[in-house]
Amino acid sequence: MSDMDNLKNAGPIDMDSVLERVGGDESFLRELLDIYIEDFIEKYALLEQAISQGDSNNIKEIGHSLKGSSGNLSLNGLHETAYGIELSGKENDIEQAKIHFIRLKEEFKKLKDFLPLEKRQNIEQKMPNLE
Amino acid sequence: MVKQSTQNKEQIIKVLIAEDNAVSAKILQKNINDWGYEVVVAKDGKEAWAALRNEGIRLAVLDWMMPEINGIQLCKKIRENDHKGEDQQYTYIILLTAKDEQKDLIKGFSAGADDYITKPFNHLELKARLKTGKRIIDLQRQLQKQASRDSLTGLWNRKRMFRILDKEIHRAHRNNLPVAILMIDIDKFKSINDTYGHQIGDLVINEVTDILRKNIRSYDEICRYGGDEFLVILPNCNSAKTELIGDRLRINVTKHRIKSDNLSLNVALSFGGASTEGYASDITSETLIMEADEALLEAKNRGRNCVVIKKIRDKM
Repeated sequence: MSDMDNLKNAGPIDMDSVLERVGGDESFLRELLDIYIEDFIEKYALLEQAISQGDSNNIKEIGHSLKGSSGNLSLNGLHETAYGIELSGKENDIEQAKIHFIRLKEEFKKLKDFLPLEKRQNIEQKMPNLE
Repeated sequence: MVKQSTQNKEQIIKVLIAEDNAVSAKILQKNINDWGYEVVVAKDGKEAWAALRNEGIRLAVLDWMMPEINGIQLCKKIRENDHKGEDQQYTYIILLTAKDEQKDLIKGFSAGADDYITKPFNHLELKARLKTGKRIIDLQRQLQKQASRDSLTGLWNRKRMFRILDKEIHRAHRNNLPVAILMIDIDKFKSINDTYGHQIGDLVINEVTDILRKNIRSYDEICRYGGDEFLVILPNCNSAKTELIGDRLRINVTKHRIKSDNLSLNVALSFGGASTEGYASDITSETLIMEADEALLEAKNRGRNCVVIKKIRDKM
């Protein structure tokens, strides 16, 4: 349970609210975080691509999707940033999207740093340009 | 134990979750499952629509933004389909919306949504909203039952009977089998009402109903056709078999004494039957009923308390 305790103290996830949402089931929460991270890695790459292509519709949709899953896991920093990305897409403001994208990376790093070593290494392997 | 689980199964409401976001879908699935519903998950609008058409979904939780078909379009499709066929059951729809989509809610309601919840949802709120949905579904079930049953006897009403009869005639065509009906009338019912009052009249109708129910086969259907008239639908019955069943019903009613306080009386029934005998391609429910009516009139003319059956053959 140590990884969960670590998350509880401070940081990227509001443990009280997310545990309430999943009925206090910590192992289910771990499973959800795994799904979230897999999905994030995929969306992150797609978002980077959409920003470089100036594809505001895609930026909006990816932002919306990340906003949804981050919100459900009470990852408040990521949730807010994803919302910013969605709005930038909606307003066709690519410069704004770039700024939020950097923030998104920072917020995700915060989450990563709270995870156990094995999970951290897994993410670093899949996202070598995160650092 | 086995019986109990099948009983429970009838009451379990099937809930569709249409949500493209994997994390959100998983949380919804776990919660809704924990609250005792059966859950079907669809990851886009297309999958959701397929499930809605085939899986007996009563309650749908639809995400607003989805690939292929979005939540609003799904609402419209569901509502377009709601009134096709009388057995169609109402689907209660809860829309999942992001906070900033709230201003568009009117669009959702006018597309046919019953309720909404904002993401990330509070699980107690979702639970309460599902409960409201269940209440509406139960009410609709009751209404549907009332619309197809006779209020005094609980038998099928006349409207429903026509649908059952049409279905049985189709089945008979398909399987090349006969089908028969019996039109039944309580002899001198008017004078029972006039002599003993309507409460006794109702009692007579209920007791006759019980005897009829107990003496038909499990796949026969009875309806209350009119005041003191009943109609029994007998699948796979030629005229000889129809007569046999009619006679069994007639004798059992004759033998039965109806008692109430100081009163004890016997009633008798007249039977008019019609059977297609064999394969009858041009039979309609109207023809069958018309022939049975004629047979019933003849039974009355023969002095009541008897069975008269008409055979209907293919005109070819």
